[in-house]
Amino acid sequence: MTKMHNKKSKFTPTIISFVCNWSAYNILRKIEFRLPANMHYVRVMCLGRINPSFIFKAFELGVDGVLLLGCPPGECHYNFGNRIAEEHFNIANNVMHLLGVEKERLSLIQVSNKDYLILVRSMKKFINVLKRVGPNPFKIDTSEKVWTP
Amino acid sequence: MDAIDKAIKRTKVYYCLDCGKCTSICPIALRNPDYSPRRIVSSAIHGSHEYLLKDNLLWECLTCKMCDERCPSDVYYSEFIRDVRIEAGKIGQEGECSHGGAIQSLMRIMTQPDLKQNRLAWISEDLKVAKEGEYLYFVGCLPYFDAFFTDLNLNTISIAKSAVKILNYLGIEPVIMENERCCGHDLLWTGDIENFIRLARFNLSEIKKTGCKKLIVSCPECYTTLKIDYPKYVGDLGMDIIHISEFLAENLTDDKLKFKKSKKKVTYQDPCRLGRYSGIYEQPRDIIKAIDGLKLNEMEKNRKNAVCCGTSAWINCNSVSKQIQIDRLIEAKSTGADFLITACPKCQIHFKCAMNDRNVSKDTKIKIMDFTALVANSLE
Amino acid sequence: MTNIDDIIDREGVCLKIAEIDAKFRIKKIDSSPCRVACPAGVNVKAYLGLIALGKFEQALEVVKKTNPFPGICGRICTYPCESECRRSEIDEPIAIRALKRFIADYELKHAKGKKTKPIKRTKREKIAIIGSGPAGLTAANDLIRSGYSVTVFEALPVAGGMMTVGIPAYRLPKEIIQIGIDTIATLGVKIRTNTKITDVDSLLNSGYDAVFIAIGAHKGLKLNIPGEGDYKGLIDCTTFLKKVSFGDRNKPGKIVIVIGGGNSAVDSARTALRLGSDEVHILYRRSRREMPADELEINDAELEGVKIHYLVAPVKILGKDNKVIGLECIKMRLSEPDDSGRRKPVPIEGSEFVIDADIVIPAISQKPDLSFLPRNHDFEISKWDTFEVDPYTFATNKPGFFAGGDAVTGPKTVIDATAAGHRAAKSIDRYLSGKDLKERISEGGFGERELELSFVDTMIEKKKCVQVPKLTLQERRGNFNEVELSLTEEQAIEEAKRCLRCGPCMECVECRPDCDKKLIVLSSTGLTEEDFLIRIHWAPEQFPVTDNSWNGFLCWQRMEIPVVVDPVVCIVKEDFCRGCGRCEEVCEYSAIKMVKGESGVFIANVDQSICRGCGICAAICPSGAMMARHFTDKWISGVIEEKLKQ
Repeated sequence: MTKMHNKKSKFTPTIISFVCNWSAYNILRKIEFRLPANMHYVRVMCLGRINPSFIFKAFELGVDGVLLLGCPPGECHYNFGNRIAEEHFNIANNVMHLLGVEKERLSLIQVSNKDYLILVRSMKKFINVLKRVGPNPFKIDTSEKVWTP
Repeated sequence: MDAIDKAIKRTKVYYCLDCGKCTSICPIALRNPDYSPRRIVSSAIHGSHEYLLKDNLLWECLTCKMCDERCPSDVYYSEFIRDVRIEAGKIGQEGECSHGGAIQSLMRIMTQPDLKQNRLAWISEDLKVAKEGEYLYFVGCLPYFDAFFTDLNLNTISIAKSAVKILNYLGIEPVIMENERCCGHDLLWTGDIENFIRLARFNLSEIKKTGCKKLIVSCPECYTTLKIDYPKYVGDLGMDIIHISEFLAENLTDDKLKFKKSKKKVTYQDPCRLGRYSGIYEQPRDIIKAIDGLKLNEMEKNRKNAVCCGTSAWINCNSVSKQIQIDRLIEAKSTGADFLITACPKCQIHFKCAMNDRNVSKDTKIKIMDFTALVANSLE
Repeated sequence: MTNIDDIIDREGVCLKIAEIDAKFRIKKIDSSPCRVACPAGVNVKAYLGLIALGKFEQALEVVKKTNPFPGICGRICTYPCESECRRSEIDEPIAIRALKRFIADYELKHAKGKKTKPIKRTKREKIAIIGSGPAGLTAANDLIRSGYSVTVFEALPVAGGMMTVGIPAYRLPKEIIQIGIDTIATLGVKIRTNTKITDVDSLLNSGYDAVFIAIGAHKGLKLNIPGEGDYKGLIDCTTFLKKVSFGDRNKPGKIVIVIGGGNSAVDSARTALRLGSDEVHILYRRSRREMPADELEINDAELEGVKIHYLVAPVKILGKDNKVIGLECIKMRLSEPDDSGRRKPVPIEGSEFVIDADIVIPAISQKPDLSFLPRNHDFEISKWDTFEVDPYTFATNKPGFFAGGDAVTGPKTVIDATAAGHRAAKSIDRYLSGKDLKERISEGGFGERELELSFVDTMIEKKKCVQVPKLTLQERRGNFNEVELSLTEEQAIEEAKRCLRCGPCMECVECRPDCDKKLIVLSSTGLTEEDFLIRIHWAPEQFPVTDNSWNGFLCWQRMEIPVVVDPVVCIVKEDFCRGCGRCEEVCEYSAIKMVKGESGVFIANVDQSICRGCGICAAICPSGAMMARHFTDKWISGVIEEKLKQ
């Protein structure tokens, strides 16, 4: 841990973003080559497709933050997707709280497909917050085998 | 000799007489003709192991131990399935995880030692817990169930509250670990032995650190895992592991428990981990009977013959599971009971999930109550 | 745990969604500003990207496609690409020129017996090129590759034109030029040095089918001041540099004055210094801001000891005993900007002064030397002695004759001449194959770049441009050793990684040899230069869908080839459906109905004509029976695993 803290200044958080095809993806696809190296995104048709299991999966695999990028209320391409997305986000948030994972590591950002600046600014903000929070200490070292029959 | 041969030897699979009693009693085989414990056993003995490991039917088994009870040759089929699943997991096979594998992910996240959970928020002021003492209470995953299954109106955490309440009633202030992890039961039974060992080692050292002498458990899965599997895989806890029903039954004779009067009719579902795995059939019944006025209507299939709740270890929940659940609920309802009492939070989740369904008939709708909660509510 | 084999997601090169069999386009938003800025259209972004990957040889191949002289341009190009580079909005532009030089040097160091082979002649026509400068040689290179027979005539004893005789060796070693020329000669171009053409028209009669005039601009302009031509000691800069490049190492004089502010003025001054002159002055009539010479060159000149006088103009050359002894000058000031915004230099009356000198080198500008034309020639010539040509086809007024490079534009840069060479070669090819010349030659069709991109750039960590290693001042004295040195491999890779890659696709075409199944198809749509299509074979049992809503999602850019893909709808794995009806409840399109199955248990049924594929039912399904096609649980978690593996 101490080693990690010393390196904090150079730490670039690994992020998985789940991206709505109709809003944020329209912006991200134009700028994906400008994204920081550790910022990955997964496109889905609607953010409502992302249930908590994918968020946990990402954390299980050791990401430092998960970003959900969906539509603002009333702008969902499917009308009800953002409501479901919020429900899933809340469930995930509650469970992450129980696990003791900092709430800063999971964020839902709602942008319409033209809010270029809002998206970029909130992404920057998210990255900066994660830099402050530090690396995810919950990554499992699966390379070490603990079981011998 | 490969790992499967070893498993065959250890679980006495080669004793199989091919009689087919297992298949005739198996709740899955009854509804899914493709599945048959006997066929899996004979293919393990005579067929290719590679094929066995890649067989999807491997993951259908509920590990309810019904077949083990019937087997005239004492084949440990459930344990055999567990060992084969561990081997299959090594080559990347897995069951169809329900809820998108979210719960498996949670358990794997919990293997990380640096985690600082916030899992004690449920301890309200009226519940007395101690920093150290003779008794340790193991909560299990109850707080997580409530947070995750928001649509089922679960309130499984009331089980933990009730357990502490009962212990307080008996003048015991239990120790509760802030850093307790999932016992790893589901990882063990889905073949992820590596992460099971991680969880188990962590829990073992945490439990030993408390210095308690007796470990009270309310969850049947935690109970069998801590009592039977931990010594086998990571070592002995070095303390008595007592299910809360056992503990209550001991105190019943001392006349320490005083119950309110009740006019309810209830029926009792034996969880497989508590019943067939641990042989605790009578203790919960004794306590239910001790409650004044409470009437216990037994279901047709009870004790050793009790049918499983349809799913285990969060895999392969499908239409067969649903049929098992519906049939069991109808059976419970037909006893004329007001409440279905179960000692396992997972039975509760699975039955409530089945009843939550849109097209489910009224014949199945029965109120479900946890055993510990029932006892706590009936205390004077 | 998820089998990832069926998911390939090579970002920026191709995007394939698992289970989809489709044919779709590689993302390509726009051409990069560096490529647009380059007169020859060199694909800068591609070779930077390849350098960053450590693929130096492939990078050089990319450069050579449009520029046969990477070694030369890597040293002396005026790098318009760097001034357009958008990295400068963050910190500093990429050192593109240094990187180009690096890959050229890398080839020299690691030439693994890879020799260029002569090109087989496939066409009957013969072409004559007058002048072996960058324009002439580029055209020769292009034309020989198209299968023509090409002969280059050079009046001087060496080939290379101004590159050889106008640029001093400390900037551009002669060997480097020779390598470029040798490569072209190996291809089969006949280069005849010491051959001055005296009768242009006779070329066409003596078997050549087309003539490209690329004689450059070698004739220095006169100062037009009193005393010019009266005394010894006045030497034009082209003559001076030519003399030196032929090996004359005599000290020109003790005190040298160079008049002019361009690169050739600075070159002359630094050359004089290297030959041992004690004092070297440059006079320039405007201020430093207006000085056209390369900023870095001016810096180096000052460092080496050249004194530059700004806002000074010559008035009269002073002489004694038939020799130059000094120069009378006048101080200037800049006028207020005129309508065009330019500030003209105006003499300050009475501010005349004298600088002692024994040699004066005018380096004000050059024009083509037209003395090779007969007096009665009928070419259209401008008042600056340049050839009048069609701006698109480079054809002169006489059929069969083309002209380009400095001979048309007046003195410009090597990269401009290279561009002209390409253009002329295309035009000559069209002329000889009987196509309409007037049909416009494609300009490449580079679109306007997306300015909005710059906001995200602020996320990038700032990192300064690489410092090009140079000889120390002591090491430069008295010799013509090359001043700038090559980058190391590590430096080059680091520097190339700074590239922002404006417009995602690098257009390097490296994906093609990489693709095992040969599925990448390049086709031209006319709008952009290259379109990369990836074809993934499709199974015939899949039914075609023509709805644009999903079509648009897969292939958000234009598609001209019909695609057969399964639509993104939800499907039910019936074995796993518990019939709970949660999907039916959540779907606001009422696409899902619970249907009673054989065993009496309800099973979800998706009406695919109503389903819009959002996948929310799949997210909500507790048992994993509902699947959003293409966006299955396995796919999403597989993508997560894959991305985190990197």
